[in-house]
Amino acid sequence: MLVLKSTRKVKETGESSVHLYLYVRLNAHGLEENMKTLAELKAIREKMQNQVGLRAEDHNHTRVVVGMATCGIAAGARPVLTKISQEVQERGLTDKVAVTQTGCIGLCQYEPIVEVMVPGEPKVTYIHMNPEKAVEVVNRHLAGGHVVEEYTLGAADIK
Amino acid sequence: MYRSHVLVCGGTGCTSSGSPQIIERLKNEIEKQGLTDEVAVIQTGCHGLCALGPIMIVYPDASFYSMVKVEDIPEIVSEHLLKGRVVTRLLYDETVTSAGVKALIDTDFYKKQHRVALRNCGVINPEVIDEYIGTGGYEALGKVLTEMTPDDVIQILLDSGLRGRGGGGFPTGLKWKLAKQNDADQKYVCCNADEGDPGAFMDRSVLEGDPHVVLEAMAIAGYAIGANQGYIYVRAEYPIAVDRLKIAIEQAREYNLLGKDIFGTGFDFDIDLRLGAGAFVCGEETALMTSIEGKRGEPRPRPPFPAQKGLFGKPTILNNVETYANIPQIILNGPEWFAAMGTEKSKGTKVFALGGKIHNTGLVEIPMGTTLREVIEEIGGGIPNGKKFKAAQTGGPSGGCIPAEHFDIPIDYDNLISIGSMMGSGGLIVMDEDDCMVDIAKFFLEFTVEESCGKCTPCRVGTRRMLEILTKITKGQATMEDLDKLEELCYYIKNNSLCGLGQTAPNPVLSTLRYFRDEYEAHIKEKRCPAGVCKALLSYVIDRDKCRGCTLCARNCPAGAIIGSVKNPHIIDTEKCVKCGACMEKCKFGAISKR
Repeated sequence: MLVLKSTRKVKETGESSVHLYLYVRLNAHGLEENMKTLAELKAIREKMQNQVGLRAEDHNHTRVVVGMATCGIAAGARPVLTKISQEVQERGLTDKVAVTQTGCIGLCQYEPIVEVMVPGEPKVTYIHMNPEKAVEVVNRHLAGGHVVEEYTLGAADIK
Repeated sequence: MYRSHVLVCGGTGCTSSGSPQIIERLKNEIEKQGLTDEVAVIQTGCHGLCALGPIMIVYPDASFYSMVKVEDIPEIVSEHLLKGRVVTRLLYDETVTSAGVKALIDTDFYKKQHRVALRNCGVINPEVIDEYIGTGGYEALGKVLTEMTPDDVIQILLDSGLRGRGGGGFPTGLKWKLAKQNDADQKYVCCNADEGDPGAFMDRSVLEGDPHVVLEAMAIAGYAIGANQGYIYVRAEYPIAVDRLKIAIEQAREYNLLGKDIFGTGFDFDIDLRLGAGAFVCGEETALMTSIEGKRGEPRPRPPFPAQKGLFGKPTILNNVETYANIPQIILNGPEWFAAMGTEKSKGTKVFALGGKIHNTGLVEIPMGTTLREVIEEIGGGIPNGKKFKAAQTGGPSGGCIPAEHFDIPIDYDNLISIGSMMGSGGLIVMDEDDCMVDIAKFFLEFTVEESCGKCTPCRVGTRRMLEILTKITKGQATMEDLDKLEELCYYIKNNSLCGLGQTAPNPVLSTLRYFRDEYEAHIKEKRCPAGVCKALLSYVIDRDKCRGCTLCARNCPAGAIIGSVKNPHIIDTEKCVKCGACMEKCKFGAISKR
């Protein structure tokens, strides 16, 4: 990974690409370990896969929907949305989980609301979410497969 | 980490319909609404639906917006990107159904397609090498260099059945094998990106949407045949493709995926660009290599074939862009995977550029063996205005026409040749009942006459004589003897020209003669153009009973050829008439017709 770091450094200092090119060429003459090995290629691929994976079109995705109508935004849905999306990508779940927003579903007093739809399973509605609770949902529900009962609409005991 | 990716097409089609302005406004608006950290804007290559540009796709919900206007951007940002409400009225109408929004892959246009060469086009940012690596890029090169011998690579290609996508259909593995067998101190790998057929733009789209795939495949080719230098010969008329190739080469060098000692295996390979000035003949392999050498782009006789004596007299392989775009996938997925697609002798997929009288003008990739009917009626959405299909032209100026009687023929190399056309590089122009086949043949002949390099006489003089006869026919001045002479000339030029340009130049005439001889004869014997295209044979007439004498036609006639007084039927003076059709367009009573 030496090269990765050093090329980045050159980039940050804003040197021109000509310098960068010379730098790599110099290395080719054995001044420093420069080669991009297969392991390094794999590291870049894994890092990028989760981002490019967001662009897959698949009917079997688990859908996580965050209420982002005026009521949701006012209750703090945006940090929840950002947090979930971040967590999903960091954990490499983009190949099976899609995070999107939706409008008002009519339960404004329970916003921020997050719905999780796993194909073939009943929809789970989480209410009064915040970024911390959201992380828990990603960990336990999306990654672990266990519904976090205490945050659900059912647990709030309303009919 | 972004929660949403907005992909905007940056191919030539969408660029010309205004995608750069869309991207600029999108970035401004996203910043204004405070979403910069949440939403990424990515410029991609072609998605295929060029007629609907500019195209924009929002992930993760994969909403497909078509014909996006700059004024629509604030609404899309505030409604969709912030609040998650898809702006349905701006979506591609095929995806909107009564049951909600349909996935793009389920639309008629994409359903039957199978994307191998276009796998990354419209999905990744072609100017960022990391995105290509993220989809498995350069993995095939790594595998080849560390686990395989050159013979293994060639064997995989032979087993896959991959044939050249530039038109000839020569087995790629065999080409590589021949070049490997010839020992030399220096060999070369070339890429033919001199796409010149009118109506073809597959190679441009691959270069614009996924340039790294070509670089990777060329490096693999270099390893297989023992070459360490590659050249891409690309038309200067493809500025976006040239820019992206330059960026890609620079990035690959930066990562040492091109250069010395790639992956620490001791294998060296580098690629340089050579820009062509747009001569059609430079797409011919020997002319292309002569042009790379810095000489005037003219073909030379073969043998010796390029695999023996090619660029600078050294063993060389030359493959087309689309051929290269298939290779990394074949290495990674195995030859059986590739050979499972297509027909017995034509494996894999083929990219076609759909154009002419068709609903979905654009780029499609289909498995070999798909029928012309499926391509035109299902994927292409049929012919506009309820007109009837007459013929499809494939292979550009070297190809021929496929008439309605062969509508159900499975498309592959051998089938197309057996009906007098050819695969060509993949332009597919659809013609309806309003197209005159003699005029089409004349159009392609005009092109070859213009593009003939002049080195050999049959092509230089012969094609010109053919064009003269065709012009006579369209003017109604030809005799049946002329038609015989035309046919004789066709065979003479075919058999005696030096290179592919001349040998194939008569094809458009031969195939239209084969299927539409009656149209030629109507022009000659009856002095009539059945499709109503050839101006010299048309005459406009006013129906006395329908004409109300409103004088509208007379006022709009640029030649002053319409005579008549108010409230009395008008007549057209055929001597003065220039046959522009303006009167027919203006008449509110349908009183004017052409014959």
